[in-house]
Amino acid sequence: MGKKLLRLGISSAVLAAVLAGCGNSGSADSATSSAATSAPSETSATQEASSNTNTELTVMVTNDWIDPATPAGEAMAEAIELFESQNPGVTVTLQGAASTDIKESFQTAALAGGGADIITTDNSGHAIDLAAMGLLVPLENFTTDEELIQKYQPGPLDSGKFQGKYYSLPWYMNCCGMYYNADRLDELGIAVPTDWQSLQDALKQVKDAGYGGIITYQSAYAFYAFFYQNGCKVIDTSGEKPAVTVNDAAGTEAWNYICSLIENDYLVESFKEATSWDKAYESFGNGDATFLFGGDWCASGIQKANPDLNFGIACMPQGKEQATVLGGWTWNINANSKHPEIAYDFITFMCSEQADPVLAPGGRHSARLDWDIQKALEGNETLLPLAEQFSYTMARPAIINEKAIDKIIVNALLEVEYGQQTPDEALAELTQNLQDNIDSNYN
Amino acid sequence: MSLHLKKNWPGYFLAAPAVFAILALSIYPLFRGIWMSFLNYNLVRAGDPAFNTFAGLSNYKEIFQDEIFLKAIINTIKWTILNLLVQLTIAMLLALVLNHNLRGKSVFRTLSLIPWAVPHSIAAMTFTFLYNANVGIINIIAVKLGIFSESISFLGNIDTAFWSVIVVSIWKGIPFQMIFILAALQGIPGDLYESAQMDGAGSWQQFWHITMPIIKQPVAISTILNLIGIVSCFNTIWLMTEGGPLYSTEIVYTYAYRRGFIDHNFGTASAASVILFLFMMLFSMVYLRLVRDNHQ
Repeated sequence: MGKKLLRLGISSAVLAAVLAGCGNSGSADSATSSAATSAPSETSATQEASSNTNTELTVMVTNDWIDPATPAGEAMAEAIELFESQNPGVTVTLQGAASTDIKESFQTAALAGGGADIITTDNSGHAIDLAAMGLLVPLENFTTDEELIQKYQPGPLDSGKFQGKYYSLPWYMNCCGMYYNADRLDELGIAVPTDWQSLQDALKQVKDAGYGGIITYQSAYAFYAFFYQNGCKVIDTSGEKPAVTVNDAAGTEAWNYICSLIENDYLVESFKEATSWDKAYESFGNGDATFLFGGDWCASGIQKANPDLNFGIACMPQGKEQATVLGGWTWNINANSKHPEIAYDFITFMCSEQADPVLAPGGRHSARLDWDIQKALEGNETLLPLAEQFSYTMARPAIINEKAIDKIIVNALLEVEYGQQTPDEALAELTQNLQDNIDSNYN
Repeated sequence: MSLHLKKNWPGYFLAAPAVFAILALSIYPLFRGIWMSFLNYNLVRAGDPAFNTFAGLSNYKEIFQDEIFLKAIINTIKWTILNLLVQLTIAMLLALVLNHNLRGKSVFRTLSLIPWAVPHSIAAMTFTFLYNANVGIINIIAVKLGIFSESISFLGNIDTAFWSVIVVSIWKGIPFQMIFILAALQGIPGDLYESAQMDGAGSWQQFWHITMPIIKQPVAISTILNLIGIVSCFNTIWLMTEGGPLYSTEIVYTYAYRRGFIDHNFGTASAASVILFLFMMLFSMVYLRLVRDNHQ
């Protein structure tokens, strides 16, 4: 008997370790049902609005906003204070999480029926996943689509659109641009590339001179820009079920262009291990790479990596049309929130002019249509080329499991990089893998 | 109430909180996880009528039709065998050396335990930095010595990533194995060796006929325990390569994590975990058998 118990004990401990996490999401069905009934009736909304006394809102943000000793944290604390003074009885409490796992932290808590009332998410598909799980409140409960469209940039707004409903209020936005080593281009007498051909010519000259070409974070992020510049959406999410378009004529042409960069060794060796932005900054900062594709946040990262580097920023090289890829963060309301109306008031406040000082310390740009870019960049004009792209910036496909989609695209690029497949073979497999992923997540 | 219960109720009462904690935190997730492997449990399809319904063996069928899972199984086997053999060999040699009366023996023993004491995350970050293609000391030295013509991305190439990660796992695992062997070696009476020497036995004969038979059982037990740690080594791999590039470092554990937390399909994630559990269950049974034999 004792031995049996011992066996059972050890076996249990082993499997519990293996299955940690898998068995803790048992409340998904309850969370789903709560989401399905999350739309507050008018009566409850009215009651809520009239009884703000002692209401506590919890807000999950990335750690950058938590520490009041930092400029961003201080600005956030001041904005919250202003909101609280305008809404007596409401207390806002911040919860911090790392930007890399804020979605997972929230998801775990929300699936168990809890979680912060409000969560900020990266606009690269995080909100879509959470909405598909039934963990977010659709904004139609508080406002109309027309009002949102009139107020916010289309790219950031569409990044939170799932099955025809908006779930996210766009907070700030950025886009991918091209950083270049200014001293090196001067040394080689190369003009800053403005289109695909001039980029390829510049890379050839750089490589012939013994320097490295492009570095970027190892994700599909920067590569989406080339597809968009050729008029290909990669995945068309306008219909009821997403459709893969990466292999249409425009997509194939863009794919072949990207593969030509890879096959000519225009991506530096360290791209293979650039699984974080820090590694990309390092490669560009120490002169390994001549070009870096990334958003406005890269400027400070590069300066940290090498304060002496003389670099410039330009728009992404143009293809058939000008286009680049969107980044940024959005506000979302937890389906488990007991105060969705007040939560909506808070996120509206955070996206309003009143809370614009919160965006100032990091040089971030609001996703509102009335945002004055020129004014926001006063004193920091080097970032202007990035902001100039906003009018043609496009969001990544608003699709379930965007992170898995990203991995599929990166793997296809790596298949070419490692010489495992030809560009044609890799594109065919990429198309099939994207389709399989969509089929597994949509009816 | 039986006499036994009446007599021992304070003991049961005091043990109850721990029992409840284990039931809630280990036993429930255990059975929930097994059960989930037989359910349609794709979180992003939570609105689907089939969600949370019985799926039979379809999750198992799905993962066994997935090339990545099959690759993960092969990698897991390769990972386990290599880790085990290299760790055991080096640990044995180190233990034999440290069992001799060397000057500064205690310092060497303490130093040899350092890798074990270093947290997985710190070890992974340190080695990632050492392997770095731009600023990693390994590349810098190798290029300066002319071993490589240019820097290599050790963690970024499919030919080198697996070996680069396994080095970290071996480095961290050796002390655990070594300390068991050393403890067993210290339990061997010195007069056995003296008698053997008097009978003309050489070093190799002493090792093979005296040392090995005595330490065999403790070494086997520590090896099985170590195996469980090796098979479930998630942190090092995930922090260094996330199972990449192109799944060249994917093991069943990272595969299960990917299916659960990236693809949000907890049905297939649980199925993969159950397969991993079977591996570990096998090792546990061998371990328990050895413990029993040892006691007998």
